[in-house]
This record gives sequence, structure tokens and C-alpha cells, in this order.
Amino acid sequence: MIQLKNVNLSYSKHEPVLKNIDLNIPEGKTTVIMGESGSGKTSLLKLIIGLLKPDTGQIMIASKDITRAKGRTLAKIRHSMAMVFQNGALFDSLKVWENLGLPLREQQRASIRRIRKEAEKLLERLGLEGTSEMMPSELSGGMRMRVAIARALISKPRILLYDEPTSGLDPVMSDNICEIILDLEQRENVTSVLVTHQLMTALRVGTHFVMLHDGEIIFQDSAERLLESDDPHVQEFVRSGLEVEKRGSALRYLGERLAVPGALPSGLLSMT
Amino acid sequence: MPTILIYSVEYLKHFVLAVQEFVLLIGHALINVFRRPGDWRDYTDQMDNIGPASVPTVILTGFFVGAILVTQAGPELKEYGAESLLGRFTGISVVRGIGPVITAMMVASRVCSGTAAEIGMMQVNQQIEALESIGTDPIAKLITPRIVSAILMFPLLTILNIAAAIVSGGLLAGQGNLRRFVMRSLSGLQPHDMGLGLTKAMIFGFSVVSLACYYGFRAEGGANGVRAMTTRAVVTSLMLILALDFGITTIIHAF
Ligand SMILES: Nc1ncnc2c1ncn2[C@@H]1O[C@H](COP(=O)(O)OP(=O)(O)OP(=O)(O)O)[C@@H](O)[C@H]1O
Ligand SMILES: [Mg+2]
Repeated sequence: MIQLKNVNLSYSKHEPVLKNIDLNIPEGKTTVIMGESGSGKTSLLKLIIGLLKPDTGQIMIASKDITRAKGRTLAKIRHSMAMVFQNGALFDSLKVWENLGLPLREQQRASIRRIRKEAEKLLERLGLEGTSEMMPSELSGGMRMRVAIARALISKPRILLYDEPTSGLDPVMSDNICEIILDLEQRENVTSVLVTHQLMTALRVGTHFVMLHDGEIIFQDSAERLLESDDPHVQEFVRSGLEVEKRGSALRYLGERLAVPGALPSGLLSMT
Repeated sequence: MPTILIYSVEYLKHFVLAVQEFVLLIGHALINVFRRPGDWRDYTDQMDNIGPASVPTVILTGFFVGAILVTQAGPELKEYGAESLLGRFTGISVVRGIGPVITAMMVASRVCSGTAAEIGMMQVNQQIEALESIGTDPIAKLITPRIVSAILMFPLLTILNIAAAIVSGGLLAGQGNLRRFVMRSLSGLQPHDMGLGLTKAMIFGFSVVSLACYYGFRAEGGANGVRAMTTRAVVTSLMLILALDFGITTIIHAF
């Protein structure tokens, strides 16, 4: 269980980025954090893993207060957590397998042989066979993201923080990531916190939903409540999410039709 | 007039804060020298990066330094019939003064830009935060090995540079016997001359790489920020080498 109690955060002299955050993240479930760009989602994840310190308030992980933890104590807590950064944050000077191996090497001084074995296994699970000797710069954006996810999974953390892991991935790969998150939750009771803009991803994996607006939590509850909410910002998010999805299925439908010549609607034919 | 005053006070405040930040960062890095490293490869990689890769540059500059000293001082000494002192003169100049400074400047321009750019890119791409998030101390992993490697490698490179300078001086002195020239250049040296030269090299190495790491850590805002910090790191460290050389020499002469 992760708890934030009345947390405030600001970057140097700027106005507060997160205001009076009271958040309960249930254990062994997936919590989804939504909100528009700049609303403070990434900052919230960084607070949880201790990369940022709040101005005021308290952060508890498994009933341990980590607000002021540092050095070895903090490092130990972090060994049971992992974060997937928004842009992947892969180490450019290391090969893909070395990137994956770094947490194992740093946390458990694992042998190269063990690292290679575990890395290959995870790469396969994420559809990245044959990339292990590549440098991050040789990968596409979507591949980099998946390598970052693999790097987060490799140390088998109990808490996983994902910052928009499915942005830039095609629908099939997106589904694959969702399945991995669900699988970890069901089989290993892993707690996940997922930041996403995609309503469908959110509904697919989430059990608990949090909506940020301008640094404040404006919604925190279940999926049903999310769809019924009368908060204008939540409604807006849901509506635009549904629209994107509708457009997506329309395009997929069109794609299928186009693949069969002669099946095109006459209206469209006249347009081409 | 008051505007200037306000600016100077602001500038001074920034400077003091920067120095404080520098001392904290490098102090933290130095504490880790005495801890067992998480991964020895961090050290061997950095030694490799500073040492062998600098060898050609350092030897080549050494050759030119020897050549310049001999061609400049040779005719002068000849006029006084003191050609036999040329070897001694070359040895002392190179070991006590020019060798460590030239080596440090050449290696600094390579290592400083590389280090500041690499760490700067890691900073702006959140790789340093990623390191922290897996429970690794980024200062211990990135800065400590670089400082230790510099302290070890700068003296070795300085020795190579000095050797190259004396050999090239001997070849160009035109006194026929290279071996005699080398013996003469060494004969004028006391053990503490070599000690001083190598201590300087260590101090230069430490300062240059610490500065580069500091600027790298401070980078923000994408490639532009990294470029700005890299330039600053190189310029500051080159000036620092000269200032330190002046300072150390003054102190030595005072005693
Ligand atoms: N290092 C920083 N220094 C100063 N301000 C920052 C810094 N990082 C973020 N901010 C500010 O904090 C606010 C929240 O940023 P954050 O990255 O948490 O948003 P986000 O919800 O993750 O946005 P996005 O969806 O675009 O990733 C923004 O207004 C941003 O300008
Ligand atoms: Mg973000």
C-alpha cells in the first residue's frame, strides 16, 4: 500500500506543481493516473520512488515513512520498486542486454551469465528477440519503451511505476503491455501505478482511477464511478477517450474493407 | 551605480552557491573512494578512456615541446659556450613546469568535453534519475571512478610526455649522442622535482575531471544546455590548470 498524505510539491521558486495530494494506492492492484499534460503525473511518480522530496506532507510505502529517507535506507526501499520513465531513459552507452542487466548487477551483483539469460527471456516476452546486442540508438521509439519496461521487470519488483508506457506503441503492442501488467497483478500480486492518456488502456488494466487537474486530485475511485462522474474534466477525458476509440475502430473497419478489393463502398470509390 | 552593485551582489551570491554545490558534490564523490565499488568495470572503463586513448596526443605534444625548447634555447646557450647545459635545461623545464601543464591541458580538452557531454546527456535524458531509481548512487557510479582514474592516469601520461620531450630534444640538439643528452637532462633533477611534477599532474587531473562532472550534473534543458555546460567545463578547466600551476609554484617558492 502506498499512501500520500497532504503532499505539496513545487520546483524551486515556481508555483506549486502538486497541491494537497491525499492518495491511497491499494496493494496488489493497478492504479491508473490520468490528467492532461503538465498536470503533475510524472512528478507524482517521482515522489513515490523518492526522486523528488515533497515540500510538506508524508509518503508511506508498506507503512514505512519514506518522506525523509535517503542513502542506504532509500536504496533498499527502491530495490523493491521500479519505474519506467516517460522516454525510456535507457543508458545510451550500454547495449540492450547491459541496460536490462544494470538493476541486477547493481542490486544483486549478478553474474554476466545470469544477466544474459534473464535478459533474453524478458526480451522475448516483449517481442524484442535479436535486439540484445544492439545499442539503444539503433531502436525505434516503441522498441526503446519496451526495453525500458523489460529493465523495470527484470529485478522482479513488488511495485512498478509506469509513465505512459503505451504511448508510441501500436495497438497490438499496447495490448501486450496491458497483458503483462495484468499478469503481474494476478500471478505475482504486484502493485502497479500507471500513468496514461489512453482511456482504453486505463479501463483495461485499472482497478483504481485517479485524475489530476492542475496539480490537484479531482477524482479517485473505481471504473464505474469514473464513467458516471459529473466532474466536467473527468467527463471531458472520458468523452474524448471514447471518441478516439470510435475513430480507431472506424479506421480499422475501413482498413479491413480496403484490403478486399471490390468491397469498397461506392461513395468512397468515387472519392479516390 | 546601484544597479551595478545589485548585479555584483547577485553574481557573488551565485558564485558562492556554485562553489558550495561543487564542494558538496565532489566531497560526496570522494567519500565513496573508500567504499567498495559496486562494479569494478566502472573504474577500468574510465581508466581506459582517460589513459590509453590520450597516449598519442600526449607523446606528440611532448615531441613538439622538446623540439621547441631545444631550438629556442640551443643557439642562446651556444653563444655562451654552455651547450652542455642544454640537456639539463630541457630536463628541468619539462619536468618541473611545462610537462605537467601541457599534458593536463591536452588531456583536459579531450576528457573534459567528453565527460561533461556524457554526464550532461545522462542528466537531461533522465538517465541519472533512472540510476537513482534502481537504488544506485549516481555520484558513486559516475563521478568517483572518473576522479580516481584521472588522479592515477594524469601522472602516467605526464611521464610519457616528459620522456617524449627529452627524447625529441636530444634528437634535435644535434649533439650526436642521444644517450648522453638524456643522462644530462636527468642529472640536473632532484627526486623532489619529479615528485613535484607528478603531484601537480594529480592535482590537475582531479580538478579537471571534478569540474567536468560538476558541469555535466548541472546540465538541463536538452542538447543546448549540454553544449553550454560542455563549453564552460573546457574553458574553466584550462584556465584552472594555469591558475593552479601559478599557485603551486608560488607556494613552493615561498618555502
Ligand atoms: N525539473 C523541473 N523544473 C521545473 N519545473 C518542472 C520540472 N519538471 C516539471 N516541471 C513542471 O511541473 C509541472 C508538472 O510536470 P509533470 O512532468 O509532472 O507533468 P505531467 O503530468 O507528467 O505532464 P506530461 O503528460 O506532459 O508528461 C509542469 O508545469 C512542469 O512545467
Ligand atoms: Mg509526464
